[in-house]
Amino acid sequence: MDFDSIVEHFAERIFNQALRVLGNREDAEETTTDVFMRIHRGLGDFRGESQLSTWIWRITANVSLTRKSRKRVQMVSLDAGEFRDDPRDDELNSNPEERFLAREGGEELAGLIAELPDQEASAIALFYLQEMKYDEIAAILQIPPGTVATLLHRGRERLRKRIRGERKRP
Amino acid sequence: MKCEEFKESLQNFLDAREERDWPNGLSAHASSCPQCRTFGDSMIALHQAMQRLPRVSPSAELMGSLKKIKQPDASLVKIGWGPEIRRGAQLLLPLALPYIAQAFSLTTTQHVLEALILLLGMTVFVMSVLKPLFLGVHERRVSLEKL
Ligand SMILES: [Zn+2]
Repeated sequence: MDFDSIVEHFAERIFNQALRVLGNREDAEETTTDVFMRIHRGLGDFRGESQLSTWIWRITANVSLTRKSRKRVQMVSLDAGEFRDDPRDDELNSNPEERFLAREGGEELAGLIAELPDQEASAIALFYLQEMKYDEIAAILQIPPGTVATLLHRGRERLRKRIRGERKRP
Repeated sequence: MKCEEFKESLQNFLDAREERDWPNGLSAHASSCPQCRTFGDSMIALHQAMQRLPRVSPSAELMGSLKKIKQPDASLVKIGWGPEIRRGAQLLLPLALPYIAQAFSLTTTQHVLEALILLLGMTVFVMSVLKPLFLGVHERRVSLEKL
């Protein structure tokens, strides 16, 4: 696969992965550029020790996490009071939790994912956004498959608590 | 089934991405345990919402700058030293070493001049080794400016 095809095939997915892990567009764009510069530099030396896609996703995960730990995420988050019942989506019989999850087409939920601990955010985004299996995620994050399960379970639990916690705020 | 067991099985059930209803064991426990029923309902709502997470299109500017990464940049060539200079500097260095040693022990004008010329040669050599570092920084700045 040449560089142009890699851009064609991966750019949008890598951008979205970075966006979910980092939580804002500017960081996601810079991360995507950084990832592709590394791919371009490394492509000539890539000897196929792992699958090309695993190698590309591993670069993406590393670059995103490095940037994230450097910036310690200043991102759009739910301030107290921001979680309110919006009259616009006030439908009979729909509970506030469901309405939160649907708000702004899932953008608020996406913001909470970026606030998860780094590895959890990565695993959740690889699982849900990239629709990857345990073993693929394990190969990318270089952790045992059992740890992938732990990250997903903890991530979901944390998100659920955040959403319910936000709900209880006045 | 205990509540902890219920939570664990439910999580594994979600990991399997199955579209079917809860397995019997799970629904049996949920129907007799309101807390787990609530936990299960909110987990499934969360799971479904995450499957529908919005996909955002990268901007045309970003796509354009990604495609340009592989093009050799004129400004990179300008500040880069050619491989010939590097090779020349590598050849010069072994020849230069005895003179440098001398220059430090003698003080005549001629030797000082010789030493200066040789130090210049050494600088070119050292810089050619450091070149990739400089280019790395420059390359990054150029591409960010393009965004
Ligand atoms: Zn229970």
